[in-house]
Amino acid sequence: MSDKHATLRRSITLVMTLAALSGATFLGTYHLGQFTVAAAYCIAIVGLNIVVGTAGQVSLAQGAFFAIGAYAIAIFRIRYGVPFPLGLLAAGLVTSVVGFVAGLPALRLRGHYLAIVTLGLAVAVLPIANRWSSLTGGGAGLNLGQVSVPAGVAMSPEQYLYIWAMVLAAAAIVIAWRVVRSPLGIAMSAVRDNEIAAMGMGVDLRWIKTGAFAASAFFGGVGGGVFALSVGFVAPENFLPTLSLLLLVGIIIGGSGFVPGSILGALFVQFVPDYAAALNKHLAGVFFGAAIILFIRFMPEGPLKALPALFGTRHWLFFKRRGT
Amino acid sequence: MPEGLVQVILDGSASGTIYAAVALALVLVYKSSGIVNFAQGEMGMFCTFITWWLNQQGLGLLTAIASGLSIAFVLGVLTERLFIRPVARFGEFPAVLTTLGLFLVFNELAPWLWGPENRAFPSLFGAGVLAIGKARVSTESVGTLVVMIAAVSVFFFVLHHTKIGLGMRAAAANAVSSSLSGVPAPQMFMLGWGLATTLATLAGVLIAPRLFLDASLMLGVIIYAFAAAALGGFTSLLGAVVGGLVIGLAETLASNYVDFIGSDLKILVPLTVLLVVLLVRPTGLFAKSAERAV
Amino acid sequence: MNWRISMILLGRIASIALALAFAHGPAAAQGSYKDPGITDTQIKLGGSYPFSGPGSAYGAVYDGVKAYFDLVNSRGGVKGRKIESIVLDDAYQPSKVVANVRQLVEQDKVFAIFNIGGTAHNLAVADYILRNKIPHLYLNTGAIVFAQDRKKFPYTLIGIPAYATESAAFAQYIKQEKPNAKVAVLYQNDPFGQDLLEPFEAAAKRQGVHIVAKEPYNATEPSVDSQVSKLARSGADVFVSFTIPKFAAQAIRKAAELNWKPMQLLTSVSASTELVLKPAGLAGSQGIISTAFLKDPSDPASASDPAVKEYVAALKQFVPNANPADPLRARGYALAQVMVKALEGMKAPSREALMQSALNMDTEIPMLLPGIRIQTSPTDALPMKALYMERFQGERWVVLGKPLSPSLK
Repeated sequence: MSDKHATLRRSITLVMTLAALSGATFLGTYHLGQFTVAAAYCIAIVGLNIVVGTAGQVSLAQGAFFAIGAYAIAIFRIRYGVPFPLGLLAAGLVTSVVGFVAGLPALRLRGHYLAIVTLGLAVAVLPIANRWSSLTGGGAGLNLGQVSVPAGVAMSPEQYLYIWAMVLAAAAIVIAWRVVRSPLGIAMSAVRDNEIAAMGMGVDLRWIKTGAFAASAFFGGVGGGVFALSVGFVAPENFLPTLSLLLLVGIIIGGSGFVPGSILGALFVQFVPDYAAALNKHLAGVFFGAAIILFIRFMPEGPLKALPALFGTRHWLFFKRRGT
Repeated sequence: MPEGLVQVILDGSASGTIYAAVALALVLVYKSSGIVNFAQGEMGMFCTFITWWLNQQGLGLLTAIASGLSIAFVLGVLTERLFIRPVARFGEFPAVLTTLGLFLVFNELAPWLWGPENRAFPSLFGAGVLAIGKARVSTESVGTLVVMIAAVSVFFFVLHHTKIGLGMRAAAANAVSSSLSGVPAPQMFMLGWGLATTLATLAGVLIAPRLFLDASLMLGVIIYAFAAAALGGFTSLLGAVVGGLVIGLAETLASNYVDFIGSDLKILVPLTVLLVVLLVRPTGLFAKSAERAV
Repeated sequence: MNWRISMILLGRIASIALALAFAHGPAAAQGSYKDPGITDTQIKLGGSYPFSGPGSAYGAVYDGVKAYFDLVNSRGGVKGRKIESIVLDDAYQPSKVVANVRQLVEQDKVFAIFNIGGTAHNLAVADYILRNKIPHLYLNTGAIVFAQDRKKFPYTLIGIPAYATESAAFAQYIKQEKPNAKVAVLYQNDPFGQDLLEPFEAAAKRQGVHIVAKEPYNATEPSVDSQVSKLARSGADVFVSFTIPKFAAQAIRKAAELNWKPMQLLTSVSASTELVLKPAGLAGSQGIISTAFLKDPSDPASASDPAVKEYVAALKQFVPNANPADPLRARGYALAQVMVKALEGMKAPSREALMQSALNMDTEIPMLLPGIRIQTSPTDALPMKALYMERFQGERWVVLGKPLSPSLK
């Protein structure tokens, strides 16, 4: 199936990426910032989709990984003057080490026990960032300033970062798509569907679980890094435990386990709260909460499965192949 | 300093009863419908506001609480029927994230209706203080603990020694087979949500006099309550109470006697305790091995 | 499978088109106005408040702001220009404040940014403000860094007395009343608490006041009981509380419960009869010391004050369900009065003229206590330098003596 349509899929990916990149030419800096942050969420949601959607391990730590990535790039930039593309890579790597460690409890725990232990990591971010103020700037935060544009590139810093964010988001989707379809991804799905059977097939649970956490943390860290660069500032209050839950909402909206769905999830998480606040600023949370409830109510498995039901057809285009 | 230690233990137990109160409601909903309800605390907070408002309108405190608890029951039943049941068949995830949506809704509806300020909530137990040597504890804290233990006893009796309780447990364990054997599972789920919301509101009414009532009444408590419920094994009512007390004591002792932790990092103590306990016993202290979660 | 991707593509294109539809080109030139957001008939001001989320109690500040702007508009506006106030919700997150300020400046084309709360939140937008030269006025924070580092914050003015001023006044008062005091401090573990604690520690050191214990709390925690209990055991006879209202009330009640009777000093944010002292219990609140710069709308003695009367009436008319006793609403009202004064003083309709006006003021503001003036100059960016000490007696605050302006060095 994938071979048959590979060319088409590649061209669609290319067209989409170009369409996204063209945004740099006509979006104002405010919208560039919004879409850059959406791309940051997208990268983090892609990562979360690996551990939750594919490997079936409930993680509420993605907000913590996002925060660690954000702080990492801030510190690399401010303290060591690391150029940001390298800083993003470093932020991802640092975070993936934390992610590997955070994945260790998954060897013993499952379901909501794992969820609550990983939520603990998300809860820990705020007090630790406040305590460790020599590194994190404490409550007053850290100022990253604007990214510098290389000489000869006629772009504003916002445009330049936007281009990077779009390319990284596209890369994250393509890489995750390939990983999910690789033997590694198939092993992850096997762990999700039936751990004992997966072991029987010779899958090493330890490496699959911690590896999935590390991979998801890598993307979470890169996403957090892009977020920090776009906002230009990191402070503990940006990383409340609810961030982890929001990112989880992102994968449900896009369809759990379906990597490109992360785009939709990210757009939802970034824009729906703003539209909700535009309706009534005192009821932003009510409208956003209602949007989540309605979305899940009518598309509990993501929009791509809901469409055929809406059109009353089971055309092959809509037919969703299970996981793999 | 033994006197200091007595006070620390009293303070820790007082916090523990708060966590236990909310953990009980989480356990009840999980036990009766198999879903972890993120909105549990917020629903309790919302109905505590209703109780407060009724009291402000001139209703006596006990009447207001009785009305608030009844409204909570209806709210719980309706929530299950309208929001949870339609998505529950798609698995735990959509249902749990729906409760996250409900969390946001209730959290913001309350300040919109009643304003964001904190306010005094009248206590059922007066403002007395009990002295134990030089250490002191409020009658509210003692009263909260007593009511919680009474609530555990009642619910334990209902769940384990009545037909309806058996039905609730059967429905949660296996909806299809319980329906085949004549237990209407949907009604049991609704009943479970109704009772859990009532219990969360009772928790709210008990802790609001100490914490003061505002929309964030439960925000700070819910994470401790989750940890307490998990520590106790998620399906054990007694486990939730023990879990709450253990966590309250652990964090208060650590913040008092371990300098590195101090008051700012004390929230990490219950999480660490939880992690360690779960690594040894992956389903908590009180869960039966047969109830190992998947 | 391809279909799925093309659906996503469609979504992406649609969202970009949507964004395009909302993105405006450069503002059309409006006669002689070189800056956006101001015309012959209108001035646009932008703000961002935590209407939702954990800091939503601070959203009440805007009620007072709205009441005063609406009142001014109903009287014909500022020199014929009506104030259009555009406010967005930031859920108390610095990153949202950044997005909101970008939106206010680039999309809503506001003339100036007014009254954003929170230290980190305002630091987060400082770079952007500086790059775009936007007046960033009367912040709802007392972080003194904004007044001191004028190179970084040339367009910024804080709207309340510096936290350092209050801390220094506390240290001075303690030194006077209890020269050998042993002081215990409870503070919120975020910029609000840290900004009060640090200058207090410095002032205590200067004055020779001995701090024996300090305990932080996280605003996300349910209770400060165990912290207060720990402070009580330190043997301190002075208790300084740098807390927001809910925790201030908990602390007062816990101290009473423990039968700990120190001299208590409470930061002015929480010096509210309705929100703090009554809920905490009036018996345990007697003798608490705080500082004041605003008239207290919940004080029966000030009910006949024309400024307070006007405030209560305006709030009732324009924000009907808001309780006027909340000092945060009175604060918003007072800061809106300062803002209107600054707008009135503009010699030309430009951002530059607004900054000149704001940095050359010497005036009284009706909602501020008599003797507290707004005084600035191009070299002095601290609008309120003085405050009163006050003591809680019976059911009301009693102002003590004359306004103090303690040295900050």
